[in-house]
Amino acid sequence: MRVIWFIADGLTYCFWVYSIALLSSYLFVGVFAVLEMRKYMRMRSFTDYSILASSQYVPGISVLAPAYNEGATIVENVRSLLSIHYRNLEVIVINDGSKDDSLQRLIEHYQLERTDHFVEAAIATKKIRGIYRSRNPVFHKLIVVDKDNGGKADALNVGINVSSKPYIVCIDVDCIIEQDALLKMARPFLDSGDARVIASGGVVRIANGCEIRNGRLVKVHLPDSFLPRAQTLEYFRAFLLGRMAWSRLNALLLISGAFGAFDKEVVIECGGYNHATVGEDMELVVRMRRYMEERHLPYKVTYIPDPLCWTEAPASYKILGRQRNRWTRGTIETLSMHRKMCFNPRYGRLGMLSFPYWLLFELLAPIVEFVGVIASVIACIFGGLNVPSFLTLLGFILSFGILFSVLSILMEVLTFNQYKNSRDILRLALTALLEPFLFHPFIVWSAIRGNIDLLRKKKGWGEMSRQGFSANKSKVYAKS
Amino acid sequence: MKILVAEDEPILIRVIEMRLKRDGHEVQLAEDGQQALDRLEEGPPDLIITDIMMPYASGLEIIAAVRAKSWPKVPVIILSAMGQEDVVLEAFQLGADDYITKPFSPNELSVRVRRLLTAK
Amino acid sequence: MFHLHLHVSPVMPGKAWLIIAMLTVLGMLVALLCLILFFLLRRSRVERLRLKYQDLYGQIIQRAIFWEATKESPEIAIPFKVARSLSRAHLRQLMIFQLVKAKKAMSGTAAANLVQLYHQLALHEDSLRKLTNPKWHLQAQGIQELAVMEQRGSVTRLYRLTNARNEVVRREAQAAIVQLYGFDGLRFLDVINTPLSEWQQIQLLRLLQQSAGTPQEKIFRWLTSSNTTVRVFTLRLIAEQHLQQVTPQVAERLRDDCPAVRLQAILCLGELAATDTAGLLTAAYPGEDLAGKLAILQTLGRIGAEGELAFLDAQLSTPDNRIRLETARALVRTGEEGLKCLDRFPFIDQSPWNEIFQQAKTEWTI
Repeated sequence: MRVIWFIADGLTYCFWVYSIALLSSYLFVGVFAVLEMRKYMRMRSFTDYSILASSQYVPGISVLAPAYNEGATIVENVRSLLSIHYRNLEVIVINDGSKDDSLQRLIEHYQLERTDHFVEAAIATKKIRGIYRSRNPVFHKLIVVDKDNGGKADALNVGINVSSKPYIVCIDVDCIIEQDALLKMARPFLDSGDARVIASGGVVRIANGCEIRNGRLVKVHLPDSFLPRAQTLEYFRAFLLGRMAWSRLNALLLISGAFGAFDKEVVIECGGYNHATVGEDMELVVRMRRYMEERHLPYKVTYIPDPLCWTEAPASYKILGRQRNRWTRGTIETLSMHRKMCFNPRYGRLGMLSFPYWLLFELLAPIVEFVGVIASVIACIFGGLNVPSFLTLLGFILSFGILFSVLSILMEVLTFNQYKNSRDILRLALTALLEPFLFHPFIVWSAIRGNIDLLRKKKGWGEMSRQGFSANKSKVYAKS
Repeated sequence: MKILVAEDEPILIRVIEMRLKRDGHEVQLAEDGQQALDRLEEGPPDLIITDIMMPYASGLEIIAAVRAKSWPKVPVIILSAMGQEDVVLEAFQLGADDYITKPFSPNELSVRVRRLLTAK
Repeated sequence: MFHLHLHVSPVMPGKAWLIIAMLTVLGMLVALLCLILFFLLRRSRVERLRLKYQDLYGQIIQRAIFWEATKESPEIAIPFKVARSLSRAHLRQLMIFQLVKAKKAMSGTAAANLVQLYHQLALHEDSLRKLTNPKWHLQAQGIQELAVMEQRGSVTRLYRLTNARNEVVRREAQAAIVQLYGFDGLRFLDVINTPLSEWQQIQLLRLLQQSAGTPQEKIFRWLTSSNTTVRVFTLRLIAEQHLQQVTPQVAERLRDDCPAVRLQAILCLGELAATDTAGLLTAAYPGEDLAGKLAILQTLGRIGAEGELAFLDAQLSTPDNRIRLETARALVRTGEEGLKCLDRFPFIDQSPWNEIFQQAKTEWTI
């Protein structure tokens, strides 16, 4: 009996240390995010981005938009991409072997013609079937690439090969991009400094419930159903707090695949997107950073918190569960591919701070939580649980979590203020109260399933590419 | 004369409207590219003044749309903050008749409008 | 993020502490919620006011643009409602915002009238007051407002800020002087020892777009400045202003130590397009890195390379496909002679040349 008590004590102790570390990390994120956001907003308050729109000295950007079976909306989406305000721009739509009429619709609507186009295969990819350009000079920025199906990472690599500009912006084709998005994204690449900006991350916001016309966002509303609303809040926490704080330390490990800008030269040096993982967006950033660190080259990964990209979030538990399952696998794969960096002082802050943080608090948190719940249920059954103490602790942690959510709502109100209707904000605050009970457990469970699937080396691995990536929404990674 | 003005900056569009009305023109306003294209569907104006960078559709698309119609030639004046040679050339290649860069003078705009309308 | 303990043991902090911690967090939670409520209420009030006055101010601005001074009315008429509303600080700021926006798009008498309105409403005092505000972003904003509104009277204060400790303030003050005095305002380039960021260069080029009359001897000096970014900026300026007379000095920059300067010199020469440019570029070609080589080929295509066909022909056989493609483009753009040169190429039917040539040709016809 004594041994059991001893083990229980030990476990409890570990939980305590872990919890305190986790809570401190939250405090750090909160404080750093507020400081960094203040700095950004002040800078933005007097910056006239429109001078970039008319300048010829802005860096050239290729927008890469992989598409798989997006026929229903592709014409409209491409149209909104073409109307982005930017002088030195090329829009590359990569049709990843769609089985629908995506390509046909593009050809008809944009008067495309198959052209001879030499592509230097800087990164090995699946075969390109053809490259199309428009006869109409109004659409001269558009390049459509038709290729054999190979998954999102492969499609992006083809885009990189075709691209003729020094920077690439990778987006999900069904995202709605604000027209001034690239002006804001290009800004960090124009600031001087010894450090080369190798990547710049953008924000993804949730478009469910918003009014959309002609592929453009007209009015922002909070989604009506609970699941997207909870995700809205989750994205607030991730983008207004988490990313902001990490970017202050120049220690961002993840840029969402749905909207991020990269220095193409470094991407190619590193070998492009890796199709061996489902977390290709995170993996690329980690690999690029690792590349720069190992060569002792000064570099920066920046982050732009303006809401520039809007996307439809999964509205059913089934699809959401699958998405989170995949995110979890992607994270584990990325971290294990680069495990060498963990606690390795050679990689500076990255090795000593970001990496361990991801390992301990993003990856391990759901597992610890899951084990904790099981353990307390067992303890409760065997009468080893001090119920009042337990409830106080639970109350403390719950209110801490809610505090963090509410802080992110406050940040939104004070900064970008997209939800003009005050009722939306109050409903969001209510969501913050409910989310730990209704939404969070499901997210934890999906993460656990991701772990299990990875352990079992699910046979469905290769099927990813054949399924395409319509459901493979890019990762946001909320602190939850 | 009926003039279609496409410009997304509210103050500017009113200023242009006021100036043209003073010259005795009838003015149609479009606050974004889509509105301008919709207006064109209703029939040809006598002249078009358009910005280049606007929501939904650019001024260049508007020129292309006008030129694709089988109307007798409608003069188009571009009014844009972009003054670089290549943009101006592109606009003229697509069929613009005049190009005014911002900052601009409403009086000058009025003179150029008159010139194009009389030349027609 | 919920963790629990299994069993109360000595390693745990006492329950009293936990309760205190929980109450603290709950207190903070309530405080944050109150803050949100407070800001929401304020927001809706501000928004209402903004909507109410935005159109009104817009109308005043429109009227001011078409205003003509007469003996009877030497000033722009301001309705009482507007004058009264301007006793509130944030409405004054709203007026300044709208004036600045309109002023940026206007020139001639319309612009002068807007400045007149700005003065008449004493809004320059608001802008000047910002210059002494301890917050750097407000200083920067004030500087911009004064510059857009052509407040040459406050130039001494702006000059002082060109030495401000805060980098952003310093930069905005430099830009403001340029906006007010054109090329004369570029004097700071003589002494600047920090890099001019790309952003700042874009900003300055934009401000100088309307200016004319570049001081040549200054251009010469900046072209040999020890600050790399000043050299790059000067080359860009020469290109934008088409200063043909300095072509020889630009050509000297083809031998600059810094690749970024050489690259800019190539592009600048392409813009100036003198008769001997093609020869100069082909002479510089062997010493260039890849980016420089590509830029030279591109420029040759732009200015036409009838005299350099043999040079281009030789580049078609280099191992790098990027160079081959750019060479083919240059040949296609050069015209008939260039096309003949492509057709004569011995490996025209072989990959990758066939694809490269086809691409160059179709690109040109689109």
